[in-house]
Amino acid sequence: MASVQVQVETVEHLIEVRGLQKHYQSGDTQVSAIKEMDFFIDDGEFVTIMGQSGSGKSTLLSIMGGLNHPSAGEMLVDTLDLYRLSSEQRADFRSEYIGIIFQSFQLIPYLTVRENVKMPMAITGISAKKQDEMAVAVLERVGLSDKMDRLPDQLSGGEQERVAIARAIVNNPPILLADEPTGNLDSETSEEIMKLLQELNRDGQTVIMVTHNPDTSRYSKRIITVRDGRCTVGACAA
Amino acid sequence: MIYNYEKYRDKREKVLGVRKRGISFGMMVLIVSGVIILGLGGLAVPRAIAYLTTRNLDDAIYKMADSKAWSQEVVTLIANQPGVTRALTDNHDTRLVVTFNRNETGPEKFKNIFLTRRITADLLNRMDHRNRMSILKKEAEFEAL
Repeated sequence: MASVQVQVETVEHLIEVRGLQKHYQSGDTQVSAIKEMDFFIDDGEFVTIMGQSGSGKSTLLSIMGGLNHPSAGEMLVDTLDLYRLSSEQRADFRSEYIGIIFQSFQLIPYLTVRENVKMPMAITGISAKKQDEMAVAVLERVGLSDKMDRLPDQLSGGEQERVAIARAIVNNPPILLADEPTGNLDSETSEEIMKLLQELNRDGQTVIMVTHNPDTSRYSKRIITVRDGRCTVGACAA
Repeated sequence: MIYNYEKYRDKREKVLGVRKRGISFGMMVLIVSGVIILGLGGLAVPRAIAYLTTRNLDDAIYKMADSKAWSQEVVTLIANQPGVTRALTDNHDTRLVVTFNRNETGPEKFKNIFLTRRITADLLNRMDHRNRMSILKKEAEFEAL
């Protein structure tokens, strides 16, 4: 059965990255976005992945989210080897385990805030009434209960980010991946968003944030530094 | 930190397909097929059983020579013979209809019983049981019009 092949019994952490590599072809040149990475992340951690532009951190995040096949290595989450799962199982994995917050929010402009937040629940089989209740609850949590029926362009940048966070956590995923969550925000709004992420982490969510901003990394418990497709020695937990 | 394998078991089983979300397409096809098969079976099986249980049955219809009524004792005696499914008299008790398995018994044996009881009975007709039932049904429908 598939479960035997894709489950690894020897893991000790929620997330384990083993010998991960990602290469791709750009014209005649082979680019190594990730040369070799090994690290782990425990359940309930708030980890920042830091690195300069082009260091491979966003590639790493997309691999961790089950969105990008690595060239080699294993990406283990809760004993599951993500890239040995079938594409259908991986879609279920993303739905069950992962919430993603994008730098550019990626909200659907013609849907209201409430409808945007309900989007990830469309394939879960949850009843429409329950979906609405869950969306309202999560919007209250991020402080947008009075703006649920507005369109995204009627909100400020910080509010749009909150909608993106609400959408990411509405299915109650154990892992929250944030790609430069404050990249488009002013410093005051950034702090608000970081405090919200910190609060979610305190409530038990594992938060993995990619950033190149050292100011935002101070909210996390651990920093993994990526440089030229490798985790720098010492920064990776060992 | 000690990793708790049980914490996300529910999610893990959903991903691996151990725990299904809703009814799978295969299961739905199975259920619909089951309902259709049971429905068709419900129509076909009773007919098949009826055919199997009546295929060897004949009816013999007797009448006493002097048109006397059949005594209940004789009716019971005939009904209890091996191979006889039932023995019934008509409304006026003058005709006796014996339903029997043609492979096990027949009018010859009934005749002997009548002789030992000194009953003079005429065999009015012998016919396939299902044919007779069909005729009776048609007659009943005709009378109802």
